[in-house]
Amino acid sequence: MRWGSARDALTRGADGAGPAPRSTGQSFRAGPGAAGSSAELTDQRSLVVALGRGDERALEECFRRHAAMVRTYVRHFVPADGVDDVVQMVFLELWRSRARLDPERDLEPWLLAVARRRSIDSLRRRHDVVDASALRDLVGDRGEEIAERVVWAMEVRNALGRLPQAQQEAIGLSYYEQLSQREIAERLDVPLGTVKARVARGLARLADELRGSDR
Amino acid sequence: MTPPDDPDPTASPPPPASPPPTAGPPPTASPPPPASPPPTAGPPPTASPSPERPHPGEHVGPSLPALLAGELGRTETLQVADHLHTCQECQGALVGIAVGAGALRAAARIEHWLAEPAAAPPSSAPAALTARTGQAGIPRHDGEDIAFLPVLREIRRPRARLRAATAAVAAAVLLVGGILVGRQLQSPRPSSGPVVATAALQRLAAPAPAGGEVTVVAKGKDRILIVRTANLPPPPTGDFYEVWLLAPQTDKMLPMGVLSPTGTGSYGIAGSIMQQFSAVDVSLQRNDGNPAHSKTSVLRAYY
Repeated sequence: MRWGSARDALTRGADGAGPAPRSTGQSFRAGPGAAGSSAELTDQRSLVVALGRGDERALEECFRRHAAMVRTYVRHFVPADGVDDVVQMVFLELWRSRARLDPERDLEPWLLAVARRRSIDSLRRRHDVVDASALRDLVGDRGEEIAERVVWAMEVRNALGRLPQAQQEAIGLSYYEQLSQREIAERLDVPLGTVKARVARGLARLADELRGSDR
Repeated sequence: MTPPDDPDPTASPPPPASPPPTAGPPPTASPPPPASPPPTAGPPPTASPSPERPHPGEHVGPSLPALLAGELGRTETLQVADHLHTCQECQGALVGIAVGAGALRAAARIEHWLAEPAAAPPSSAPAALTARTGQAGIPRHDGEDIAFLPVLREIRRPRARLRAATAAVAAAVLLVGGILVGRQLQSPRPSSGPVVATAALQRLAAPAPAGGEVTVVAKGKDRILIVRTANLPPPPTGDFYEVWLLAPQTDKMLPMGVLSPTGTGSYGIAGSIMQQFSAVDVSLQRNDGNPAHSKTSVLRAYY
């Protein structure tokens, strides 16, 4: 079993890597998750500020950045025919709550907390059979723990996206696709030593990125 | 679905045998590298040993990820161990590499876990259930485009309750959404019907901006697989792209057909067969008469 299933899904926009639909405000153009620059943190802050002002472009940008993560999370719990509904509710609630958001705090945990609640609502409303373990993984401390881990996975993806392309590629194949270094060397047609160096440097740099992004 | 091998479902986090919640995120918990040289420097294998203390062999920084991943054999492992015991520089490098590797494993594990639906009913169920309950969440063709969030281009109409409560928001966001919706409508929609799955095409061997998405539409008991690639370079002369269904666990594959030169394709298949697979694979094929998968997968989506 390969690990690529949720790859990109967590960090890319919902419709793949399409370009931004139009020229939004400069402050929102740091790029989609994986390609995020170091300006991303301040960028997220200005995004929330703009959202608070009622700027619809900010909502669009939030959606573009985070819908895939929300969707990936919701899909795990909610049967396919209810997923879009829940994702829709989450961003609707974001819009409604825009004036109360704290720009100093990350948006992802907020979004997933709402996604959790809406997923629970959705499962409880269903008349057909609902897997009890899905509810169990959503509610209480366990649900909170899982949501935190999803956010953390997203941060790791984003940090990985800030690495040089060659390191990203080698690390992605190693950890998400679970290829051995020898297989990666074959796949990329580079010497094994090159793969070793890329992964080692990339991991060290990733650790720095992750510490740097911790506020 | 319970996470695999989860010994205590009431207390443990989703991934099996993962560290307890109290462990906290690895990076903040990790101590700073003890030695001054930055781990990113990744000493080349030929670098000379640090002067203050002699230690055996070359620096082992590049071998550390393989060590942690269990990819080293006995001899190499012991060599690395010997070296690590005495080389502060490599000990320092180990800290960063271990933290990076740990974070990635945690991320990959939860992503993998999430990718497996816990709540999925039998895959033929959604359409039937929807018909019975009349729930929104699957487009109903009542001739009106609301699409008040760009996400939901396939969804025409939210629940009535929701609709009433959000008319104002809808008006505001419609402007925004309309742009995305408009863009998406330009792409072909060979079939309309309840969408039972959508997934992003992820890049494998294809060059950087390539992507796209797959949509599965229900047509009675049958399914229409709609593949829309984006930024896929034209295949080399004489080659072509082919679309496959894939069961990743067993590597079972089913050819669906050639991708059109426009990078799109739509393929009909019985729902009962479709549900035996969970991924769509796009391969680059040689026009050499060999009908087998070329082993060059350029894009893949898990649905």
